[in-house]
Amino acid sequence: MAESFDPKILYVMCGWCGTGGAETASAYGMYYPENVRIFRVNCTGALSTVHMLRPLLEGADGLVISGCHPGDCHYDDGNFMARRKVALVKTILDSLGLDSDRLWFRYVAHGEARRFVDTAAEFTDHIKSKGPNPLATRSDT
Amino acid sequence: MPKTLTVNRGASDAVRALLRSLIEGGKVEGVFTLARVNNKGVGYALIRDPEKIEQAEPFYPWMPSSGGKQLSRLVSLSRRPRPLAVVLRPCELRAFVELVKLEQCRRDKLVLISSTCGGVYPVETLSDGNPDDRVPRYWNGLKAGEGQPDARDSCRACKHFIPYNADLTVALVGCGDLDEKCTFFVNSEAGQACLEGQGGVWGQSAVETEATEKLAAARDAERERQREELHLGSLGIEGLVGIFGKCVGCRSCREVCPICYCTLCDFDSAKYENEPAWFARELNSRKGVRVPPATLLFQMGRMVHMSVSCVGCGMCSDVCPVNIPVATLFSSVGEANQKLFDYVPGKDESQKPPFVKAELNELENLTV
Ligand code: SF4
Ligand code: SF4
Ligand code: SF4
Repeated sequence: MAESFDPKILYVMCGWCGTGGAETASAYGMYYPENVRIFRVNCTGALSTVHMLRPLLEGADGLVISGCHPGDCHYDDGNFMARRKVALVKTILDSLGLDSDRLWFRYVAHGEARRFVDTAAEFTDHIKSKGPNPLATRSDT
Repeated sequence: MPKTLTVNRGASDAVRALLRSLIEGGKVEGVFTLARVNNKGVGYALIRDPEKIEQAEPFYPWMPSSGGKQLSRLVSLSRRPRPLAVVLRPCELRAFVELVKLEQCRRDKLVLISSTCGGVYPVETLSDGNPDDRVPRYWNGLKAGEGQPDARDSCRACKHFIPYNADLTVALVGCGDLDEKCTFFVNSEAGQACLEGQGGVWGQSAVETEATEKLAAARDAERERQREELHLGSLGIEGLVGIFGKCVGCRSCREVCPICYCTLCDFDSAKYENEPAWFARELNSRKGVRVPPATLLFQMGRMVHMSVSCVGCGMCSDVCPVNIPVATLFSSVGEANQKLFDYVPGKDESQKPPFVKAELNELENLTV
């Protein structure tokens, strides 16, 4: 069962640091799991909370967001705003008894190619061990 | 401890007299208060004619709409030339202050009058025969410091019934003599200026009393009971679908919510106008789809947008045509994320709302 489960993962990354990490990874020919779909935003702070919620309700098995390390944001505090939003969405999921651990937030810098591919692989394993997102497959929500 | 002015009139009469004198003395341009409509029920009204003040029912125990939301629309963002006097319940006042902080309206040139609050009855009871049967019962309850068993769920569970940010607070809860006497608590210079020249006995005391503490404790217990009854601690998907499964998608909860101020709600925008291809895709991936679709997305989307500012007023539950306990859920979820950001909506005017500014050193355990 676990073998046949190919999770749908959405990886939202900042256009400055995370995307740079992915480019560096490709320059070195590094591999990340193919089920990870990359979605680039100008800054993680620009990602709305509904964008975090909607995939989890409408089809994704997991959502990982990576922004710049503290102090590195091109817009000063975009990564901290994202962190607040993630905290909010997680708190809401928790208080409704839903699984907040299908949403991850991590800092990945421009040069951190290894950290980017590791995050993609680690999150995929994490979601694989959890199994399919029960919310995303319901037809009564 | 604030200064007080006690006058020898019943509470509603005393406030009517004050409002009238503010208009006649030219201190305000008009007043905003609940007022009788054709002697049937009440609605919010903006009054300038001193003769019409007789129709004001500042503490009538119904909330036909959130006065905070209505007021915000009147005062918008441009400067008022002259002040308005306003009577709001504590949760309406909190909603108004949230809207000021969210830059939807201005606080200046307003004299804000509020009271310790015994709650309101559900709005549907306003039209069920003779609503005034409930009025004497309400006032007797207030004198004894008790709420009504048939008040709104959210009122029976409300802990913020002593107003924040009022210029003047009228004591009602636990005031045995409120038919004959009324005490105004002065919380600001604007409040003081309003009372200049009014007859009465000046003093000083705290608005919190044994009676307000007792009521607060009773409401804490009721709030826990309501949350347990709905199993809010362990809803999960089944629980959520169980609660919102009957939602007809009318969006009334959002329309009346003081915090949902958007002119075009995200969930009414074009991005949720689904093409036939979308339905085909849903049929494929989910083997079926609820119609109208995205009910949970709307409800949870509204939670992520506004629940950090939810004042627990209960308007949403009150208007839901299928009796979904929207407010119990929203205020409980709201409380969880208000705790996260150490934020009480509508309390501290100078504290920025959580999504205006983030801090460097916070939420450090969030990243994986
Ligand atoms: S969600 Fe409901 S209880 Fe909360 S502020 Fe809006 S109308 Fe009031
Ligand atoms: S749900 Fe969100 S977008 Fe819609 S009115 Fe409320 S705050 Fe605005
Ligand atoms: S008022 Fe009730 S039925 Fe209407 S959208 Fe809100 S929860 Fe659904």
